[in-house]
Amino acid sequence: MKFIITHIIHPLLLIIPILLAVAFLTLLERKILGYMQLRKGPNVVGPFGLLQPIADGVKLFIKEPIHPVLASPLMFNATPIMALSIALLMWAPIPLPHSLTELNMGMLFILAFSSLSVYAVMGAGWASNSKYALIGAIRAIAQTISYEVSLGLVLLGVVLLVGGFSLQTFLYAQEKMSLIWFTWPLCLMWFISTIAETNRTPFDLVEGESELVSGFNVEYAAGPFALFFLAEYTNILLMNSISVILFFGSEGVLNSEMSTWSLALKTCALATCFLWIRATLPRYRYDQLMHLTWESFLPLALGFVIITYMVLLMTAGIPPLD
Amino acid sequence: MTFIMYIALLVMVVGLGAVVAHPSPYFGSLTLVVVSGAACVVLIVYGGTFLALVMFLVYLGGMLVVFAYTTALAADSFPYTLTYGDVMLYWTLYMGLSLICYVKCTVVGVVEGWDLFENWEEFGIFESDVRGMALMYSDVGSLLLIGGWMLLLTLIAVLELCRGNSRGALRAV
Amino acid sequence: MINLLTTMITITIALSVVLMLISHLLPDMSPDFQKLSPYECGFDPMCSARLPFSLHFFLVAILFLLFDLEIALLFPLPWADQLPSATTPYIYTLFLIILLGGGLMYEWLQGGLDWAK
Repeated sequence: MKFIITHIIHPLLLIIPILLAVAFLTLLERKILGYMQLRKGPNVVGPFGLLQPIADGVKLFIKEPIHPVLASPLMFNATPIMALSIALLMWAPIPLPHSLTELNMGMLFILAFSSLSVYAVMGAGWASNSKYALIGAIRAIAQTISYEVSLGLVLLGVVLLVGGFSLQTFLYAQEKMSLIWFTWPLCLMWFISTIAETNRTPFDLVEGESELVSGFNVEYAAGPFALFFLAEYTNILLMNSISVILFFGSEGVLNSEMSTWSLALKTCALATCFLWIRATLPRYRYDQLMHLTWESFLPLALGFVIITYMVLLMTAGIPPLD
Repeated sequence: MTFIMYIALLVMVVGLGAVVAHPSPYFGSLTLVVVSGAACVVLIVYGGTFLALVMFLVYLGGMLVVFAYTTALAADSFPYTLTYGDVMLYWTLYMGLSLICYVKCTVVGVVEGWDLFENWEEFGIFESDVRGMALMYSDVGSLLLIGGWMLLLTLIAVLELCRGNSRGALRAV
Repeated sequence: MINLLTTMITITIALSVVLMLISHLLPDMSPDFQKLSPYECGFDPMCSARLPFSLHFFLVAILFLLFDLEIALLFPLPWADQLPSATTPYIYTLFLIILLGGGLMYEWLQGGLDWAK
C-alpha cells in the first residue's frame, strides 16, 4: 500500500497538475495575445473560455492522425512519445519546495535530459521525410545546441556561488537573499537563453510560418501533434521554474507553506513574460540569433565564470559543500 | 540493482550489435545514443553519478554531431533499418557470437560481480568520482591542460576543414 | 532496486504511450493518397527530401561539442575550489578559459561564426 502511494500516486500527483497547468497556459497565452491585439481571445466554451483547453484536447485526440507514406514509421511514432516523456521526466528533481526525487546532481540531470530532447525534434524532422520538416529540424538543432552552451556556462557561474548541482542547495543558498540581486547579468542571459532553448518568439525560426509552415512537426496531426505541443509547453513551464529556483529564490519563506505559492507565482510571472515577449517582439534573423549566442553570450559567460570565481577567492566566500 | 545492471548490460550488447549491423549512419548513431544511455546506467550503478551524467551530456552531443553530419553530407532516401533481412541477419549473427562469449565467460568464471566503487564509500563526504574529477584541478592538472590544449587544436583543425563554401577542405555536394 | 526515479521514468513513458495509443484508437481512420503524401504546398514532391545540407550547421555542431566538452571539464569546479590549495585550481581554470577563449577569438576573427556571407 505504502509502495503504491509513494511510487505511483506521488508521480501521478506531480504529472497531472503539470499537464493541467500546461492546458491552462495555452488558454492564458491565447487570452493574453488576444487582449494585446485588442480582441477577446477564446470566450465561448465555458465561462470566460475556461473550458477551451479541454475542448481543444478532446478535439486533438479524436481527429485522425496522419502517417505520411514516405515517413519511416517507427521513428515517426516514437519521437512524440520521447518528447513528452522527457519533458515530464525532467520535473522529477525540481524542488517545489520538496522534490519527488532528491538528486545530488539535479541540475546536471536536467541539463543532460534537456539535451536529449533535441533528439526528439531531430528525429521527428528527419523521419517525416519532408523538406520543411528537415529544414526546421536542422535549424532547431543548431539553435538549441548553441544556446545550450551559454545555458551551461551561466549555470556554472551560479553553481560556483551556490556550491553544488543539487537544486535543493539553490533554495538553501538563497534563504536570505535572492541571487538575482548580484547575478542579474547572468540572469538576463539565462532568461534569454531559455526563450531560445524552448524555441519561442522572438527566436522561433524553427517554425517560421512564413517560410517553413510549421517547422519540424509539419507532418504531424492530431494526437502525435498534441504530444509535441504538450512537451513544448511543459518545457516552457519547466524552464521558468528552473529560472525561479536559480535566481529568484524564496526569500525567507523556505519550508513554510508560502514557499510553494511563491514559487508558483514567480513561475507564472515569468511565463507571462514569455507570452508578453511573444506578443511584442518581431522574429530575429538567423544570423542575428547565432551572433547573439556565440559572439555575445559565450564570451560574457566565460568572463563571468572567472569573475565569480575570483570574487569568491578574494572575499574567502567559497560556499560550503552541499 | 543487480537486475538494472543486467538490463543495462543487455541493452549495451544488443545495441552495440545493432550499431555494427546497421549500414546507414542515421540509425547507427541513434542506436549509439541508446547504447551510451545504457552505459551511463552502468556507471550510475557503479556509483559514478557525476561521471555518468557528464558522459551522457558529452556523448549525446557527440552523437548529435554525427547525426547532423550525416544529414549534412549524405542523402539517403530509404536507409536500411533493423527490419531489413540483411541487417537482421548480421545482427542475429553478432548476437549469437556475444551469446557464445557470454556462455564461455560464465563457464570459465571470468565474470566475478561488480563492487568496484562500493569499497570507496567510507572514504569521505565527497562522492568518489567527483573527488577524482576535482583532483584534476590540483595534483593532475597536466591532464586538464592536455584536455584544454586538445580542444583548442580540434577547434582550429575543424575550422580549417570546413570554413565557408569555397575555402575549406570539406564541402557540401 | 525500484527507486522513485525509475518508476518516474516508467510512468512518464507509459503515459506518453497511452496517449499515443488513444490518439490512434479513438478517431476514425480514412487514409487516402493525397492525405498521406508529404506536405509540399499542393504539389507532388519532385525529388527526395533528404537533401545534402549546409556544412555551416555541421560547423556549429562541432563548435557546440568542443564548448560542451570545455563545460564538462569546468563542471567539477564547485568541488575543486574546496581543495587545500586555494589558488591552484583558480590558475588552472584561468588557463583553460583563456585557452578556449583564445580559440573562440580565432574562430571569430577567421569568420567561422559569420552566418550570412
